[in-house]
Amino acid sequence: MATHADHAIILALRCGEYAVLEDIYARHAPTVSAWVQRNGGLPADAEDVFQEGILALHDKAGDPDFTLTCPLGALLFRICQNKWLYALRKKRTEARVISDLAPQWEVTPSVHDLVEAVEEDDLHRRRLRASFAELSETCRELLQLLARGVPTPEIASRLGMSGPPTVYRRRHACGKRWRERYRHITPTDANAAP
Amino acid sequence: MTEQDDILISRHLAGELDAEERTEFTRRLGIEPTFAAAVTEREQERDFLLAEDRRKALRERLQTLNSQYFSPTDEGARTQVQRQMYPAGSGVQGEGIKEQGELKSPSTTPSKTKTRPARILGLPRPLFTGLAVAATVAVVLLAWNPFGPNRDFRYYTDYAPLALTEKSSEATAEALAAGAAETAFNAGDYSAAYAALQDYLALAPDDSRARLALGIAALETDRDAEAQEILRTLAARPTLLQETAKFYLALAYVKADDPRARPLLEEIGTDHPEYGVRIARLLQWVE
Repeated sequence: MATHADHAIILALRCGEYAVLEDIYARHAPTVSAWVQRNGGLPADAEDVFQEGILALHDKAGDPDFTLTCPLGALLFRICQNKWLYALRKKRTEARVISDLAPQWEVTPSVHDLVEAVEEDDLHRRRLRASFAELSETCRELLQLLARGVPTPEIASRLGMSGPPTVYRRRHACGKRWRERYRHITPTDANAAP
Repeated sequence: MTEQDDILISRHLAGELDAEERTEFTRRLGIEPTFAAAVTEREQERDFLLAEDRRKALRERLQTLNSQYFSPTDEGARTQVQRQMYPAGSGVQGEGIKEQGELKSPSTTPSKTKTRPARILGLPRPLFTGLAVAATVAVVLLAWNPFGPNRDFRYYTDYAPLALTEKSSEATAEALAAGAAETAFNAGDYSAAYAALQDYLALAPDDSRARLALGIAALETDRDAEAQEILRTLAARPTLLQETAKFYLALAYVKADDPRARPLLEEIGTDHPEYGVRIARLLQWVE
């Protein structure tokens, strides 16, 4: 499927060029906000949903294999819509969804596929986040410092370890623990994660 | 994964492997799928943690934008009806007709149609509560009305706020006309809006949003034949305004007791996500 012109926005997000966010908000926040409020939400709910939608989109934009094949607004609206519907279900709200579709966007198979990809990635990240939060403070700091490329002698010094070999052995234990916890995080737990 | 391999991968990611170790590392990647998968997993973990760092910075940026676009504020005028959280008038724009522009992607929209940043104003809680109750009652009555359909066409309207002007429009004749049209339309003064929109469209004849608003203003001011003509033209064009134009054209037919109302209402359908409930009631009206 052909790359959509809006893929330039994805590339900008991927590169950390957050100036594009202003335009994304200007173009799409009102639409999402109106829909959330027409479906039982308050402005604060709309704000949360839109922010979560942007974050999910940003996370997925980091995937170099991700290619946008539909208008960004269509994808973002769908992501936000699903997040709000999930929130309604979680609250066991029986409010009727009076406007299921945004009239502004064509809903195409491409949108569905991309939404699915973003949501799958979002769920994976939530599980990673939730399981990471269960690690000890030392483990979390160790993993973060290594990811940031801090030299191992410096990490050893900062964390009071004897040297690089100890850093790597502890990293192995922490990583193992992280993966174990990940496997135990259910989608429900993950969705409760920030 | 063994501790030895995990440490090897850690050292690889830290760029600590010497030439001989790198060669051996690359060789194993090519012949040991399990090892290759472990490397990929470690890279993904690292990327995730780096992304989390960026996410914190992004969240801070979003907070700023949220305060600009979502936080309640007292400034600015508000629309009379429509999606009640949206303000009208200077410096503020809601979803409105502006957002329902021609069928093209946002990024390809010419800069002249770039919308102003929208700020959504919360209503004072008592007013909000009152509106919420009123809206609930309206929905209940719309869905269940023991006395039959309401025969006031305005009962079925829900005009989106009109936003035509740019954020920093210069005081050109076009911008002034657009501002006057917005103010009148969003205040529900359709006579003034009709005149102002005609002035504006004389300068910007291709603005479909303004054209749709003119059709609505004509309908509201009992220029039924003209309203039908405008809306019919818009309803025939494959744009994102098409559905809205169709609905209001059907409403114009209903208002004028025109037999074309029923087939058009049926074409839009009672399952339409935006207009379905209203279509069902209007079909009762035209029976």
